[in-house]
Amino acid sequence: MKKVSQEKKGDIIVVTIEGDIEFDDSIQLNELFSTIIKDGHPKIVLDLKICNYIDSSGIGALVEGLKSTQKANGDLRLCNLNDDFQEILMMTRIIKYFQIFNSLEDAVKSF
Amino acid sequence: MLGSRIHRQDHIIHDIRQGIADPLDLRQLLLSLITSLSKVLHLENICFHLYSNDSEEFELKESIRLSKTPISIDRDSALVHYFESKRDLIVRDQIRKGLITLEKKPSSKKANIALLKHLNDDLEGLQAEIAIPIMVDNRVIGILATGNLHSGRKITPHDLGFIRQFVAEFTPMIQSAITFQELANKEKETNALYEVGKAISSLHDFKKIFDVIARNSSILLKAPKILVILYDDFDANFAIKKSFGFTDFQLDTIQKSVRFKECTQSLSNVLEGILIKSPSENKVYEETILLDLGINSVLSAPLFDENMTLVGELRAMRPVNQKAFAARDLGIAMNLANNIILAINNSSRHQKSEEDYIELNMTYTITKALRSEFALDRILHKICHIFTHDLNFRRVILYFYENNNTLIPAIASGWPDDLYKSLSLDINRTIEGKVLIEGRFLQVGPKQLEGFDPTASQLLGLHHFVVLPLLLVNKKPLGVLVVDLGDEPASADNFKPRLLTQIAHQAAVIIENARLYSESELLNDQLRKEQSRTAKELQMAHYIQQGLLSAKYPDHKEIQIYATNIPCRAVGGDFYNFIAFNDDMLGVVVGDVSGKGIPAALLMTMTNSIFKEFGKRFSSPEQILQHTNESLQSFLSRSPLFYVTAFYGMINFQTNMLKYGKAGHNPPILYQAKKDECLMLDAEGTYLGTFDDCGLIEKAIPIENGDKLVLYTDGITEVRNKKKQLFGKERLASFIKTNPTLPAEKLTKFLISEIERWGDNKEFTDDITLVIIDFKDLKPLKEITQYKIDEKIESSLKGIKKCVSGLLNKLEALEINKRVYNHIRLALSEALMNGMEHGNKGDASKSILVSGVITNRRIEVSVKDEGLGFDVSLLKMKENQVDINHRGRGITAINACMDEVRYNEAGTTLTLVKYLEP
Repeated sequence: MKKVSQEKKGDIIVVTIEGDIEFDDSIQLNELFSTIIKDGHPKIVLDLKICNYIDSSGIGALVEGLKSTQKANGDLRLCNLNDDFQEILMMTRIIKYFQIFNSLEDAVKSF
Repeated sequence: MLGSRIHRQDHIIHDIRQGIADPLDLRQLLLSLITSLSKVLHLENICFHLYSNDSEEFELKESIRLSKTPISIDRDSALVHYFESKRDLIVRDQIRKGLITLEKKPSSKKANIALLKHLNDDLEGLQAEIAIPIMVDNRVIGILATGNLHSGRKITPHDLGFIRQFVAEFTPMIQSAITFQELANKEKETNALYEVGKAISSLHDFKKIFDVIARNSSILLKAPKILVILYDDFDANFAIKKSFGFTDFQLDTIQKSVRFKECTQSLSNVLEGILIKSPSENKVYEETILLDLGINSVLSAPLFDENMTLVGELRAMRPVNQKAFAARDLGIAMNLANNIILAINNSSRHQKSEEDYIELNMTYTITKALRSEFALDRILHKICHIFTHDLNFRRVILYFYENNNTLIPAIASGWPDDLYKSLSLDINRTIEGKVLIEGRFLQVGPKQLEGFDPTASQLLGLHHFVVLPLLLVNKKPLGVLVVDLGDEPASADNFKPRLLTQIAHQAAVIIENARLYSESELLNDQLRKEQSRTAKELQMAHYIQQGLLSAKYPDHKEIQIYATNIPCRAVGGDFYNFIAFNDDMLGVVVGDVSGKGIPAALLMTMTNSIFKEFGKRFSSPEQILQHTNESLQSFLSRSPLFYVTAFYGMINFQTNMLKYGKAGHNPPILYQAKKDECLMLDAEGTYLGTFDDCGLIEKAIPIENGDKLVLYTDGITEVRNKKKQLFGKERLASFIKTNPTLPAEKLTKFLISEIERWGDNKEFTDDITLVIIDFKDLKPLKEITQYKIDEKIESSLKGIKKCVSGLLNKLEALEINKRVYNHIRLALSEALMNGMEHGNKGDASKSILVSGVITNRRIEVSVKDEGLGFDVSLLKMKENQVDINHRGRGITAINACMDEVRYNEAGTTLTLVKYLEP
């Protein structure tokens, strides 16, 4: 991951990730999700426009984030997935657990 | 040359088809087929033997130029067994030659010689030089037997080919005609029974009645010998009252035989009659007498009076040269027995005293009135009319007995329709039911009603009434008649219980006859229409489907194809197809749609054409399957009843690569000649037509000369043997491995016979499809090594990052396509992380060995850690689990990304292979 930024839209937090998610990036991602949830914002949209790759530890972090947001009555939703990224989610059979949107706007509106 | 010949054959067959005037007339059809065949081939004799359910034999139906009557054969003959396993014609000359060769060799098995001898005998019996099976759904329904060519010219393979095609073409037509004829016979039979009933009820002379009965019984039961035995009050014994087909001497012998009396008496406990198929199995009649008379099979229907006392017997016999009676014949005999009882009642009434004359006359008038009607509803109306007008009762209601133990009103007189129509009487809780169960008429008043459900009588306002059971002779319940007596109880003199019982009894028999007649009439009418339509439709469907399936094999010199489809009904749900994407790429698809018969056939036809469409547009099996899934979804509206399993393979003759995708289908088998191993082509993906995402992931595998691709449907692997064991894909694989050099066609035939043997030569219960592709002339391709990997890395995140980025740089330099690049990246980093975390347990002092090779054909990387190794089976199990744990995902990802994933025995080395196409 080259850069992770966040922005507040109403009661929704939009997290934008730039660069591939691999190896120890998952630790940082885990921490980020739990901080946001702790702050009382369990509705998170992950914007993955500039992200081509995720490995299984990164997927582990996404799933972890999904579980804990849902536990707090929120959700973790994804948007702007590119083909390579989407293929990995498909191959790892993880895609069905997430709500995925074509644009940030759609994702934010979906809550 | 061959092509033109085939064309000419088609032409001839087309002409023959045109020449058939009425394809549903079996005799006409067979005769015109015989004439046509004799015109084309000039054979010495031609006969059709068709299986008859009556005689349980193949009976000679039509023939020409036959010198003597052929001997019939049955289902259990060697010839029929041969047909059922080989599904092909047999030439007697070859059997003779085979026999000579076998007999010369001392090593020959006796069983083999015996089999050939049996076959030879059967053929001789049929006077056949060539015998061709007429088969429907793996069952022999007839045999076409012919002699040699009239001219003395030898029979050529071309002649045999024509005969095969001829029989195959006309089998559906013959089948339709047979079914139609069976229906017609059935109708005739019902009519005849009805006529007998009618005739009997109009006659009053004992002698004449018995004459009619004996004669008609003989005709209907196809029995030349008939005995009507009745209890003689004068002699206090059973006596033969009428016989048919016996001499006086024979009758005398029978009457004087020791057990004559007991024979009939023994029927008193057998309501449904006795059927004896051979003298030895019988325990009732004296065997010696039967043998003396030359009797083989005996049929006895008991005659009971209203009180269920045995009063006589209708006995039919067939001699040795005739086939034994069947259960169906017994049914006919029982109906005849009903009619005899009716006749006896009628005539005995005539013999009664003068005082009964009026009553008698009334019964006679009533019977006459009833029998003048054919239709059931008219008869019911008339019954009501008789009670209300002729007998002056106020009201009457007739209930029919239904199988769910209820009585449902059929007709009534004196009540408005909507009052009684909705009634339904439980026979166990109502007085009407009690009467039916006990079989005796009952006069009912408030006292009798105590303890019974009074709903019906209250609703109908009945206070005093008579309930009459409508029973047939064998106590088969038909219903009850309820006659209103009014507000006061009536004396027996007033309502004449005997007369009412008799009328009820007659009404029962006449209703039953009418019911039989109307049911069969209606059914036949419907069936006749439906039959001829569906037969034609089914025939067309069969042609269309076989046409679809027997489409020409693609013309590729590199491969040899053989494909078989055996539907278990006329039309089936399996399909295969060869779809060329371009000159160098050939798609092959095998699939199975849910269900069987016509619906499956429709779905199959649709699926096949969808595949054809997308198979021409896309080169990737994954995409083709995915698009087919979407199309099917839109057509099938996601009904769980309809789904399709399929395997799609794309053979690339430029790169010698097979790409494949699998949607819930059985894994095809690739026999790899170089390794002498069978590989199951497994790939992720569930069946089509139901889910948005089938989770399809395509894989690739290189192919080489000598390899064999075996595609099949579960009809093959799910054949069970006597011990209920499945044939299974492992047995299929080992069968292929033991016969690797057999060419596709021979292997197919051998395999089918093997599977038939496994299934104990029974009919297949599912469609069977088998496509075998031999790779025999692929162009040689060179594998050039471009890069070798051999690294020892530190077992840490740092070491792994360095190794992965190093390899990725190399891939980029080699301009490996982006998707493959991503796959390698994911699989390799997952493998390394696994090694670090699980193998080396995070111990950074340990290391990981990475070795491998990148060629123009493949990328192969092995990862070896210094751990104790893991249990490989455990890992395999984990793949299938739907757990959300991310390490589990790692394994899933590796399997999904790579074409091949191998572990060594110890579980310390993981080898990943991805095949490349330039």
